[in-house]
Order: sequence, then structure tokens, then C-alpha cells
Amino acid sequence: MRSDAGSFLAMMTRAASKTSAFGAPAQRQGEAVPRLARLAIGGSVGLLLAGAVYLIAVRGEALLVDLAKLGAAFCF
Amino acid sequence: MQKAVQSPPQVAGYKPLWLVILSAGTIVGIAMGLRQVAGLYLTPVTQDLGIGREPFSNSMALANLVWGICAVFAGMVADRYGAGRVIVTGALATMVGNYLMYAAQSGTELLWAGLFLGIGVSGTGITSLVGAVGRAAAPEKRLAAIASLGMAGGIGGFVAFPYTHLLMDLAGWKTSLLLLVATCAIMIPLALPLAGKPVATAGVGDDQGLVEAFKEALTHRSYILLLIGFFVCGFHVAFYGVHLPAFVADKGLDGSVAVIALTMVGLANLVGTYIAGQSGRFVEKRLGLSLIYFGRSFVFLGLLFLPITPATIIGLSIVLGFLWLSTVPLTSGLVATFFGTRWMSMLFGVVFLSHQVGSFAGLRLAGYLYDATKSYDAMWWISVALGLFAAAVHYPIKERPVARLVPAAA
Repeated sequence: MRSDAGSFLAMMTRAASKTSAFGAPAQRQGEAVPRLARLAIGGSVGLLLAGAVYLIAVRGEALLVDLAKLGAAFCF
Repeated sequence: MQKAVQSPPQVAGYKPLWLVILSAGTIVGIAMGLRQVAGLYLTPVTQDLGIGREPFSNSMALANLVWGICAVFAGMVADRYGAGRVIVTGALATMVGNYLMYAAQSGTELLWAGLFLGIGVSGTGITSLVGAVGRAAAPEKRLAAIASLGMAGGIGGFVAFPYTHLLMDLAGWKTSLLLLVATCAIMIPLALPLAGKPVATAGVGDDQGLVEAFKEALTHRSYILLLIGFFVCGFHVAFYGVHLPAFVADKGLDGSVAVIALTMVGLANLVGTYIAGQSGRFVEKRLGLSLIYFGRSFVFLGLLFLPITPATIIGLSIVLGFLWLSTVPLTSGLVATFFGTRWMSMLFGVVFLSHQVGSFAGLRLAGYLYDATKSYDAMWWISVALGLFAAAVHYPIKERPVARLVPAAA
């Protein structure tokens, strides 16, 4: 799975490295995400999301029953 | 005294922006996930204690109320002394809250659990951390940085439900609560990159005191409009998230439709929040918010007038997901635009309190109207009207800094 969170973080910090609006040196915010960290973040988030979608697919009905009870409890 | 355009006090010491965002995002993800899953314990806790649902739901309602109120104070402390101590206190309070739920023997003890859970999420949720991230990011990247916090919260909320549900099945609800206590502990070391008292930068107009900040905000027309508008966000989100399964069942559709629809809301929310974070490049934040609320009204109209089929419900849920919490970076970004980042967490906390009141109103009104009319039509119409109202409220917002900061631009 493509690591959206990792690429997002990388893009954001890359852009921040070009300018710094409050007078601090540009490198204050300018370090790009280290490649290893980017891979780790993207991989972890991707795995977490994929696992969650799988669990919802196979156990969604049971989850819904509990959520419905919760909804009912809040609307007495 | 010559003043500069922005007044961002910086986190003491050098911390790369990506590390600040990563730490804050992980904390927010865990905090939002833990908050969401507390409701899953309704059935096992009430059955085990032999009590009705009311003490548990009161406990959760108390947690939401305390969260809203304490967010202002947690933000105040985070802005003045740094987010580190607020996060640690919040993490410890969440651990105590979960433990109290584990050990509760009566409804009263559940109320204490709710109190601590509310305090906990007020210290570790997005309201407390938005200031730290806002200060660490350059103004032109602030929106995207805050949006990444929103995405992290969305991911946390999305993944926590199925994993905790599985954990409860595998380990039992009591053991799973102890595992949640252990999970909370992860937040404590993550506070390190966010610790440190925000330092006022000399000559940039960020030496404003607490009382002055409150006075300035509460007499600022655009801030009041923002506060009113965010009430609607809470109203919509709480109503749709909680009542969609009942609406789907009422229409004779299979329960799996609601599961898929809410899953789509969660996934589309991530994309929508990301887009909102990037939107600062091509549209004003106030216009973005107006469009979001306007779009929500169309979704609710669709639920009134389109034939209700699984495809309709899922399709409209995807659209609503794009518009779900994309309001958060735009709303908090506007707070920073108005007043700078000196008291950002506190001032966003006040706006967030309005969101929580809206959530409460949405849930209670939906329950009341459904009982009275045996239909959700009235609630959909109210949601349409509130969406149009919020779109209109955001439109006249003046997206510019207060006079205190403006002379600096010259």
C-alpha cells in the first residue's frame, strides 16, 4: 500500500525548508523526513489501516451491534 | 515598538518539524482512538456490574462535557508553559480513567472514570497540541501541519474500534482495559519533542497576556462567527455518526450497509482533511468552511429526496466523509490567522467547546425528535438548515490578523 502519510509528511517538510516566515534560519524547519523514518511511518500507518479495514470487513456486524447499543444509550 | 507580521513563540530548543508533527500526531491518534472505544464497554460493564445503561452513558456524557471545558484550560497551560506537561497529565488521567472503569463496582465509580477520561483527552487531544504544532510550523505551512494532526486523529479513531473490539473478544473486556492503560503510557515519552515553554520572540507582538487574549477574542466579530459555526460541525457529526445505523435499519436495509457507510466516512475523512490542509494555497479558509457546510446540506437533502438504497447511503457517506473533520484545520487555522499562535490552543479550545455543545445538542435532539415522530426527517431538515446557516455565518468572516499584529506588516 502506498504510504500516503509518509509522503505527506515528506512533502510538507520539504516545502517548509524553502522558506521560514518568522525570521529564523530556514533550516529551523527545513530537515526533510529521513528516508527510514518515512518508510517506517508510511508502512506502519498503511498496515494499521489495512488491518482495520480487514477487521471491519470480517467483524463489522458484531461491531455494529455494540455501536447501536451505544447510540441507543445516548438517546434515552 | 516595531512589530512583525506573525508572532509565533517557538518551542524551546531545536526540534525538526517532522518530529514535532510525528509525536503530536501519534499522541492525538492514540488519544482519539481511546476516547472513541470507551463506548464499546457499555454492554460488558453494565452487565458485569448489574446496572442499567444510564450510569455508563452519564459517565460518557460527563467525559465529553469535561473534555470540552477542560480543553480551554489545558490549552491555556500548554500555551503558557508548553504542551509537554499537559500531555503527561492528560496521559496519566486517561490511564486512571481506564483503570477506574476496569475496577468500578458501581455507577458512581463509572462517573469518576468519565471525569478522568474527559480530563485525559483534553490534555492529549488535538486542542492541546494544535498550538505546539502551529508554533513549530511556518505560517504558510501551518494549515498542512495542523491537517496532519487531524488526519492522525482520524486514523486513530478509525483503527481503534476494530482492534479494540477484537481485543475485547480475545482477552476479555477487563484485560483489554488494562492493555489500554498500557497503551496510554506510550504517550508520555512522545511528549518530549513537544515539551518546553513557548518563547516569545522579541519585537513580534506576542507578549499578550491571558486576560487580554480572552478579551480580544471575545470581542472579535469573526472569531464569534467561527465559534457559532463550529457548533454546527459538532451537531452534524455526532448526529450522523451515532444515528446512521438506526436510520439504515428503519429503511429496511441490511446492517452491513451502515458498517460500510461509516467505514467510508472514516476513510474519506482522511482524504478530506488532507485536502483541507492543502486548500490554503487556492482558497481562503473562510470560503473553504462555507463550501464544506454548504456541501453537507446537499448530502442531507440527498438523504431526504433520493431513493434510499445501499448505493445512495454509501455514496452520500463518502461525500460527507470528505466534509467530515476537514473543518478542523480550517477553523484552527483561522484562529491562528486572527490572533497569532501565542494563545492558539486556548482560543481553539473555546471554539471546540462550542463543537462539543453542538454534539450534545445533536444527539439529544435526534433522540427526542425520533421518539416524538418515529422518523429522522425532521432531523435531516434541521441539519440542512444548520448547514446553510453555518455556510452563511462563515462567509463574512474577515480573514486577516487583528490590529495588534497588522502594523508589523508595514
